[in-house]
Amino acid sequence: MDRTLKKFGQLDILVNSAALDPKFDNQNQSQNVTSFEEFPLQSWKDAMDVNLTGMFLTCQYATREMKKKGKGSLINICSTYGISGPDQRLYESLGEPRRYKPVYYTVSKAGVLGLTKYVATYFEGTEIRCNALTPGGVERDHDQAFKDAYASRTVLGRMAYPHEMKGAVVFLASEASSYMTGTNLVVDGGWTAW
Amino acid sequence: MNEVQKLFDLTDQVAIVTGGAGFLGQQFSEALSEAGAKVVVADIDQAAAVAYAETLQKKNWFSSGVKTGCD
Repeated sequence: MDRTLKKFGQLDILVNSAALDPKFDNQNQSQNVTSFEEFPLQSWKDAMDVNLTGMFLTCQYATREMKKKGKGSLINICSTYGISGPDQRLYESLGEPRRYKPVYYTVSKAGVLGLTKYVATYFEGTEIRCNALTPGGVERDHDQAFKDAYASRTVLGRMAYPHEMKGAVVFLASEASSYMTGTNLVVDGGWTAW
Repeated sequence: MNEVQKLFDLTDQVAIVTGGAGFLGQQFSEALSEAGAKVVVADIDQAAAVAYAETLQKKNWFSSGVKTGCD
């Protein structure tokens, strides 16, 4: 944050996109095969540090600077799993150990919405706006079975393409959304509409 | 630039994207750059942050890569 100010002399937009969201690959298997009943406390704490405490700190630092001008846009990245619980059936694979989306993911992403509303309302009467952006599942190197299962849960019948988050972030960052604060822009292909 | 395009214009704005070298972070960093902002790509993986900032610079966008931290 300090280096940004030193180099550019101002800060207008913060996008909080850093988060722990382990993928279901071999490297992370020890974490992903862990059931809720046995979920390790340390993994919970580590994730809360990154996903929530990290976001609290960056919002805190950024608003100190934005307050000088009374203006700025904070965008906190949430998830459909911060709005509804994970559909754990998606993470089942025949013949493989049962895998679960970890508990911290839903809880920390739900917390993102709370932080967003707190920051937004705290800066009432200013032009410092804080909103959440909720992407649905974005297509990457998932296997076909997962893609198909995910797609069937969306209204649009497919996962998102990566570029489909670009319009939403520019909208929230810019004057185009100048009357929006404390809310959540959901870009999920209709996942949460059902 | 017409009135609606101006609404989305981020020229002369400075942005920080945490996790900016990550899968979605790259999309956010690129989008803000395309809209005209100077983007600081902040990531726990400093090499990835610098490398992605350089990718944006090659497109003639002003970008800088830093390691995430509250220093």
